[in-house]
Amino acid sequence: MAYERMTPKAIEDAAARIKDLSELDAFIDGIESELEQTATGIVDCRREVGTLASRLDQADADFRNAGSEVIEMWKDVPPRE
Amino acid sequence: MALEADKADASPAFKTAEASDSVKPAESRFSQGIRWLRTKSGEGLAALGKKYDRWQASRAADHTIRQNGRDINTVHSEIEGIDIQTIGKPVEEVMALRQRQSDLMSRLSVLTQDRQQAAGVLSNYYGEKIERPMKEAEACEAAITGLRERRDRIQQTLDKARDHFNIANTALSRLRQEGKCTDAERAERITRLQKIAERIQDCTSQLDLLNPELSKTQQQLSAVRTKHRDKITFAQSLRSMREDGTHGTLAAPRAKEETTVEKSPDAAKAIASEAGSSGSASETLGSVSDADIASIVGLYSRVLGGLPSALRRLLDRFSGQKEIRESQPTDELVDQWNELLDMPPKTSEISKIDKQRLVAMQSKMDLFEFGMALSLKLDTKQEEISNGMLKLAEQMTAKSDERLAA
Repeated sequence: MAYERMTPKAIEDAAARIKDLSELDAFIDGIESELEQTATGIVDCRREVGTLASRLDQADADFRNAGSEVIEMWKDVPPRE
Repeated sequence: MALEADKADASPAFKTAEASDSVKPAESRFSQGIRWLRTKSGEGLAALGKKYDRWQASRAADHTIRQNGRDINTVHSEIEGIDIQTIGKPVEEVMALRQRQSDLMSRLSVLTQDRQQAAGVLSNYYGEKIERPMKEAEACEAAITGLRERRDRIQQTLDKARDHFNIANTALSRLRQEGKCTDAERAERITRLQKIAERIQDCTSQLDLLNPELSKTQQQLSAVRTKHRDKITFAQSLRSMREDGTHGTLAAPRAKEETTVEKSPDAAKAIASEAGSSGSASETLGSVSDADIASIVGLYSRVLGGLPSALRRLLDRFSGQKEIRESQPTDELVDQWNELLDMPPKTSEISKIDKQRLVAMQSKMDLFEFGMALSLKLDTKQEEISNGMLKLAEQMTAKSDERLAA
């Protein structure tokens, strides 16, 4: 389910629930932790995309090789008729 | 091309000069070469035979699939037609029609089994080889889909972080207004929030880079699939037929998609017909007749091509080899060889001058190397072998002539 951005009112209300500095610090800790994971996730995604490119190169080569074997089999033979 | 010492050393025909000095070098070396050639030609014929058998089997399977595809359709129609025919018919007729329907169902079952078996034959030959990259492409597609979902989740997390940043910022302002924090405490939180803002911005930039990378990978996947569409369709057809006997006729990928086919159709026919005329690999392996060898030698002598570096390496490799001794040369092969060397054919006796030429010639190249090269490259680039053979033979003949003249 897609996340919906909060309205200014909702932000005000949420901010009002933070009563003191210790609660604010805990809240900020949470944001930092989540962002840390997010940054790691993005790096992982980008690395995986790079891996996919290599895998697709290999698949392309395997297709070519498989094709060569097929062609190899057909090329030296006379027509059926 | 492999030029392992093992291939040469494995030949039982190898003996050292010290072992049989009394035997004439020219005859023994020649005869050894002939024996070696005979063995290796057998293996070469085996390779050709295997290829031919494989082709026949796959063509037969292809034919089965095409033919019984039509039969299955016909039987299907008839089975369905019987249901209509039974309406309003007397019991006896209905029973007869049902029996006919039952027979047709049995026939359909047999046809389907045949089709599955035929698909299995083709699948064993190359369907699985195509399926491997096909599955890899499917896995890549799933991974791309997964990455897109992860990207969307990360985007949402960043949106959420922005909201949380605003909440924290608003809360901090309120706490300051309410006198619940000092300026120094506020400044410390502002610094943390600034770092959070920078982090959000950095993540957003990184995420923006991920999008085109994903699109590019998706395009790469599409390109691979488009490029090999025929093969994929082919493998998918095989898979369907192998599994349940369904799917239409088979469209095997043909030579049109490859540019590496160097042989002319006539040459290809010649190879196939010669391989076919001498029987299958299993029949010829180990009992190669002189006619078989002659057919191969003749085949190669008819085909022209470029000078093979492989032959040159062979010459270099064996130029320092000890003499190989054996008696009883095989005249037919000597004839073939002489013919290749543009020498007068000799069937019953070799003239003195020819013997001398052979002795001179064998120091660099003889039937041994010829046979080895022939065998190693038998079913690939035949033009190179034959043309290289002819060129080298000319060179060696010229050299032996020079020696004789000297």
